[in-house]
Amino acid sequence: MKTFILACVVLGLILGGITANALFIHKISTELIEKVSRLPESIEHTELFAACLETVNELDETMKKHRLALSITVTHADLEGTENLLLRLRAACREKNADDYGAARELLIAKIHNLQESEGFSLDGVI
Amino acid sequence: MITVFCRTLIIYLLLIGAMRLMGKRQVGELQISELVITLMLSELAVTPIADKGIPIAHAIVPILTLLSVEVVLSFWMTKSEKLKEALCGRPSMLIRRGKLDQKELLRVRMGISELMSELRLQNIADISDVDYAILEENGRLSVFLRADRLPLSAGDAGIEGSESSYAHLIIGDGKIHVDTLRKTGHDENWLKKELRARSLTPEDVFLMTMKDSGKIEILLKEKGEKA
Repeated sequence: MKTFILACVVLGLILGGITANALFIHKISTELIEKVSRLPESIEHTELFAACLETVNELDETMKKHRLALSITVTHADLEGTENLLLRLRAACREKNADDYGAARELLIAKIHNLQESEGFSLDGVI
Repeated sequence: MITVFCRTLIIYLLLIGAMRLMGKRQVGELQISELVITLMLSELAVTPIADKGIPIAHAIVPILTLLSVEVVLSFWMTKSEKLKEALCGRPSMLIRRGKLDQKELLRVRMGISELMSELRLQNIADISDVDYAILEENGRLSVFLRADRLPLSAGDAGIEGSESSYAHLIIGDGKIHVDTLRKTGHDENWLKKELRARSLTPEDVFLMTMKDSGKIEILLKEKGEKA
């Protein structure tokens, strides 16, 4: 009977833990997506790159702040993929490369969406 | 992580279903759920060790989930015969009172040569010596010899003849095994009468068995162990 109760407690803790983790990842990824969405889709005036670089720095800070917590459940490949896209976006802003900027922004949004879905509940993920 | 949790449960149930379909003979010494857990745990434990890119939580959560589910289900199975039958199957009586049940043999997908081989492994050369043969949930064959084929020591002690050594399980841990009761040619009213005569209820009984001769053995529950 004691083992049964212990097993029920462990199951409860697991369910609580994964729900809390899903909410945490959802919160962080929503914050990241909001910040990326603030960046303009395409840049026609080169003066805008400086403002974009500031937003990219903010994104980088958010990622660094939560990296340890994220790495508990998010695979290293997903984390590194997100960080690499941030680096690519930063480089595009510095080099004022409008083509690469647009592509990197789209890819980063898709990557964060993917991360959000993989850690939350989705039938696609389960299947 | 929710995905990992759901996938773990789905794969666990799928493997149990697959093992049930494969039949008892594939199982060996373990119960089906134990075998499935053993198969899954070894794989789960190795993955994050071999691949540093996978967080250790991807192993810890499924392992703890499997262990907890296994404990909860095992406990539940002691309370519900239906669940136990669904997950582990039920014993199959292949030989009853010396008569081979060919339908049951076909149902468990066991050939006569395999049955003979199992009997030989238990030092029984002639199938006609067998009174009862039961294929247990874990794939093992339990064999009971006819009373007149029991080892000499029994005969020397003056045991004769027709009484079978096999005891039918009538009540286990307070639960009445209705199917077995009916197969012995009795019903629940008869059982209630027998228990009433002893001032007992099924809940008081931990183990009740009955031989073909009608001889009943009852083991009472220890105090404070009501079902």
